[in-house]
Amino acid sequence: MADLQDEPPSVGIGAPDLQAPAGPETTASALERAAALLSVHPVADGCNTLVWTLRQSPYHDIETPDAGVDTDIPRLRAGGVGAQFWSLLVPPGARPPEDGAAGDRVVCDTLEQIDAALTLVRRYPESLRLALSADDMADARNRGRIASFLGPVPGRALTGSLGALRAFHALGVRALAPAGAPWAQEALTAFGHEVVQEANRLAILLDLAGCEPAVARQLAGASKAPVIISNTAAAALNPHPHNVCDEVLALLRETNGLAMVTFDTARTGDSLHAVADHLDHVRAVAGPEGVGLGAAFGTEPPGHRPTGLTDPSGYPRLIAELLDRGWPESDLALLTWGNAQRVIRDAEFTARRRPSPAGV
Amino acid sequence: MSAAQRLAEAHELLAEHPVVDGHNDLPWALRQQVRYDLAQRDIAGDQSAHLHTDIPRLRAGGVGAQFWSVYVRSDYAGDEAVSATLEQIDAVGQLIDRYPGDLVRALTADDMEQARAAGRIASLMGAEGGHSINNSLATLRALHRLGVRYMTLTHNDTIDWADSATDEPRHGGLTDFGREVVREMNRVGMLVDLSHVAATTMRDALAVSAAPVVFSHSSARAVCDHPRNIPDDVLALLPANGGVAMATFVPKFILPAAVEWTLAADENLRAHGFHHLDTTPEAMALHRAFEAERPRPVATAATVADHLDHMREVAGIDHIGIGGDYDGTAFTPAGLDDVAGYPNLVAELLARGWSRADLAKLTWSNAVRALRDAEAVARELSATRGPSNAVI
Repeated sequence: MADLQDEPPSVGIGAPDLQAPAGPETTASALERAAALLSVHPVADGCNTLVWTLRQSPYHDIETPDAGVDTDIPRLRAGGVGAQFWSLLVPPGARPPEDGAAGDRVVCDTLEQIDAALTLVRRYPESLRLALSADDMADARNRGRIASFLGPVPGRALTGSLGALRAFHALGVRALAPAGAPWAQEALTAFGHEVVQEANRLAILLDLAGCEPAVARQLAGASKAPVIISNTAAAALNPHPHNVCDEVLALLRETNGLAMVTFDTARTGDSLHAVADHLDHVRAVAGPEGVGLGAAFGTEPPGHRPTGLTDPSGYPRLIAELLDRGWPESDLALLTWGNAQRVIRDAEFTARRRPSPAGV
Repeated sequence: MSAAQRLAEAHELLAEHPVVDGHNDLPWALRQQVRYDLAQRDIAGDQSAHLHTDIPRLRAGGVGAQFWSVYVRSDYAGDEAVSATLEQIDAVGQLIDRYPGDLVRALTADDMEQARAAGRIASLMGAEGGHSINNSLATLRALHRLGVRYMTLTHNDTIDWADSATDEPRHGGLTDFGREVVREMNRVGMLVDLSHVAATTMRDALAVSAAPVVFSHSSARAVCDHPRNIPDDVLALLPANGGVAMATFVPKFILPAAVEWTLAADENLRAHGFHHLDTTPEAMALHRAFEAERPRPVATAATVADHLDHMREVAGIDHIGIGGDYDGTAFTPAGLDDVAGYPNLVAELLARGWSRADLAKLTWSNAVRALRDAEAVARELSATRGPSNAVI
């Protein structure tokens, strides 16, 4: 119940340096209401790729504003971010083909990503705090730190071994992305079902981002805990291959899952309004309890970002836009914080409910 | 004092100063025999039909702390070596969870002392070979975070940054990256284990290491000239370094006649298409058939004691310990047949006039001290230096 105690501290919303609202219809009062809302219900964002970016460009100091990447602590603070899943995926094509062909680095790459993420969190103890549970998430908020979850790691990194999954969990990982794993290609294999069970047992969230719809349906069906899609948009509005179709959104609604909407011109369109349209659609199909935010910031500019949402300081403008569109504050509180916290907590309840496996 | 009295005294001594054993391959044996199906090898009961190790025999042997080896075969490379190591670590965790009344996870010297006080067997982990980190210092740190407290720099094969004792040298010891691995191990507080490495690697590592090193399972080359043993000049460096050489019991390393015999027996295994380290029932059957033709020279507790006498002479009483290599060797000395045998070794040393204080150092305190000192070095270094991301 830690999340119900104490006054959540201000996270610096509405600071004087906040940029002008994106559009004329976004009123100053809506922005003020957005800031007030975010100070109580900060953003729990499902996807940020800063860890990989900083490994490529280690000279960025994210404590300074405009560090040369779109994500830094001042802009996370200005945007009202209170929790962040730090993605540990290695972008496709990031490795020279000869390495990829050998298939011999995905485990080490993942351990290196985990190490880099832990180093990042430890380097900024006043701002970031490692989070392993929903309680940690609330606790970080109460201390004015950004709860930092590790994950997802790629399903490929299991290399056929649940021991590796347990090692990742022991190192702090709390999300797993099956996309691209040999056990989640066209259909979920028997080993894939084992992975789902073990992830459930460990309270590791399954992140269906990038999965084929058929596999996504199987994963959502097999999982005893709610699944997430850490960065996506509505295929009904834009048939991008990585956007989620209504059928899967409806399944998320049934299974208490969560679709977290990305800010990406190719997937959402090039304006804040387009992103809001996707949020409207996901909320309509998956329900107010099935929609979240997963911007997928963490890149070096210029990224392909919608106007007004080029970095994490843009969240208040988006919330203001949704207020203008008539979203009730209770739904917005679910969108920013409540839904993410609930799926993490549900995963923990599921893990506690399930008996330990016999043997391995 | 009669033999029976000495044995009684050994038991009594071990009750107070139990054995810290540097190397036991039970995890690999469980992987090979039953793919980690721990129910099939319930070590709460007698497993002498399958294993050198089970809890009743660890108790009978006076073992108070065990470095469980998370060894993976040295022909594994890349991710295969890393993920197999993660599986080995995971298996040790399951073992500890399964027997909470007897085993307890230990990450520090304090944990070892607490386990001793609580009458449980402190369970530590050691990785056996730099191939387990796939040339990645972040992977080294992951192993440390997962509880691994020593890493043997190589196993039987020379790797990209260190020469093995039992393979062709490629580097003349450690490469620059190899030295960086040692420094990073010092910084995180993982003991540098110099068993299995070439003498040149031993000397290079001792020159660069700011923390005590260990030899988790190696004996004296002056007593039995085998590359797996430690030359005198290296033993003589241990007092300055603070490290501990843990004498091993493996007959083919410690008994000259067994060295000869093993060369022939290994050749026989390979001629039948087996790996020479294979300990499957099929391989063991071949060994027994070979033995019928050519009797196997048998080491005893006295053989091990000969090594310890010499190691003590050269390295000093503060720098020796015990690393049996149980479940990692096909054959064991008579009287030290399995993990219940340590009292026989202690009795042998009592007969040779070792004092109780000396024996307490050998069995318990030297190893605990080495880990404690490595922790202190790590605290100091990590206060001034961040993680190394050097690449090979």
